[in-house]
Amino acid sequence: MEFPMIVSQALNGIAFGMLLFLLAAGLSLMFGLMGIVNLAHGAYFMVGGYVGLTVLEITDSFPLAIVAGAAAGAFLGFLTERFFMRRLYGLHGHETILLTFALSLVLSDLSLFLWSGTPRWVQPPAFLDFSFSLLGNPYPAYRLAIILIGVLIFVSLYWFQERTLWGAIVRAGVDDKEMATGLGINIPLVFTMVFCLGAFLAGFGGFVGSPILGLHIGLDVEIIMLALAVVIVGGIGSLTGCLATCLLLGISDTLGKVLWPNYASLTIYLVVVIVLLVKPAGLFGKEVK
Amino acid sequence: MSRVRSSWKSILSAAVGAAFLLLVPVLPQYAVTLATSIIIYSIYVSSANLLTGYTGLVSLGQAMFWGSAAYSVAILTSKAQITNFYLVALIGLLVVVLISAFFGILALRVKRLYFMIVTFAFGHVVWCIAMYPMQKLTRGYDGIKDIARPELGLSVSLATGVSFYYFVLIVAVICFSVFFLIIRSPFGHAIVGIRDNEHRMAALGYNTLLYKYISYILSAVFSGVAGILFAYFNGYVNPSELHWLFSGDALMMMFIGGIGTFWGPLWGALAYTGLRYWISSYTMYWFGIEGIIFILVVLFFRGGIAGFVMSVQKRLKWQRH
Repeated sequence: MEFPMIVSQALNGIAFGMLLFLLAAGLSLMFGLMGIVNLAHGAYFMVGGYVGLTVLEITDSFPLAIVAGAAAGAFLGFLTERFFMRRLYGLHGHETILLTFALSLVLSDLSLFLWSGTPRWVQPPAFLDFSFSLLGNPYPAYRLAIILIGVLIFVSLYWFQERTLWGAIVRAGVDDKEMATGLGINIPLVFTMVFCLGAFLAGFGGFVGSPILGLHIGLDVEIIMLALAVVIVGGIGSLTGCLATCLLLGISDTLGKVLWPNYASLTIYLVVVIVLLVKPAGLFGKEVK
Repeated sequence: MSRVRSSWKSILSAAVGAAFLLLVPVLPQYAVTLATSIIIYSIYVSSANLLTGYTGLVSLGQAMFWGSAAYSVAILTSKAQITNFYLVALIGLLVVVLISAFFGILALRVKRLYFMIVTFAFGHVVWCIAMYPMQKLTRGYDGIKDIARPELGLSVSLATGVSFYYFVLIVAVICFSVFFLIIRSPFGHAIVGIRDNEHRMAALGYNTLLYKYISYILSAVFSGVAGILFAYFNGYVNPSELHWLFSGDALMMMFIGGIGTFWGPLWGALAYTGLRYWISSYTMYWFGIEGIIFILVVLFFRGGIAGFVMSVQKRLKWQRH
């Protein structure tokens, strides 16, 4: 493979990694704070994408569609936390897995009902729908925009977590829920907010990613598998670790698909197996358990 | 009082057993098919229950064992043209043992929710391998058709639905007896101890990792037995047998029946298969309705059917006192 080709494939990988980050950031935050694995998280991504598509078709406004997709994700997250998860905290853990699994089944069939099974593609907004020359090869501007958006989201999440009072409250909740409650922090409210934030990012990613990934039934499962792989490889701990893992997996997935097209996304799981063998707590995991 | 309860229970079990045994020849064809699949599923769910209900390891990768055994049967009988049932079954189980021995070492390096995610990922790996690199062998999304019913080398033919049903029933009785022996053995007590308090078991000198590993492989083998039966029963193996959704179904059937109880998997398989048969005849959105049922079970019937029966028994006991 020639050098310019490698560069554009690596950029594709980074763009994909950024989309993964939008999903995995919320997923690992929920994992860290509430100790749950939310299997419905991929469904927020998919439904966010579909809702955005519908709004785009009605209003013909890309920004409005993004807002609608993200809001749909946040709304679903709110419903999930408030009406289902809240009843299950403090149980064994398999209850939440079963419930979110069931929820993803419902959301997937609901999407099939509302948007039918035909795969859909979304056109990037007009002002980004062009290619520019990158080392002699044409490269779509929209993918660069996604990378930029990913960086922006990362920076604002980092700022939120490290520099704001709300971020401090969330960190306190991750470290010691009981002590945080004792200090007068409303932990159930924090749970709801974190859930909404994570689902918001997922819905956002679902629509922003739709010009690249497309929209089809089953997208929820494909994307949640990769986001869970991020959680295994990166471990839970830092936001930076999460981003680094997403980029690593995004690039290895894209390059793997180019180099060994027959093996689909198996390169990612090769990374998963190696990490499990060498460092079971994950590359950036804090605790060794 | 315990004698009253146990006799009540054994009468019920005997009645259900007799129903399974005697009613089948007079039932219509679809009911025999349904009963056969319920029994095969109950073996599958029991095997998952050994790992999740008794050892406390929540796995979302059980379909990988069921599916790889089913695919082994399909490939060996239709591609390699091996007609000897015992050889096919043996190779199928060997494949399952190898896969579980390999993934078990990796998955058991992590605990609790991580274990679940890792088994989930491995299930997906096996699915991907079957669909892409091994596409020539597995025929990808099309699946493998026309698997003939097994020849046991005895004078009975398994070609009819009823005779195959009795074959499945005999295998199931053997499997459930083995489950019973495992759970009552020192090994069974040890894995329940690990489920309830792993640190204490380790402090008592148990090699908890080894116990979990053996439990993982045993659970895989019985899922494999169920998968082999299913391939012969269905005559057709498709990718959904390997898919993680089917691993989720195992957990759900277990949960509906009653997690960590001996008969729970049978109740769960019965309720699940019956509901699916009934609801699928009205709508194509079975998965969505399945999801709604699961949500209701998780929220309101956490003990499942077995838990419900137990609470009724408790109430009866109160009234007698």
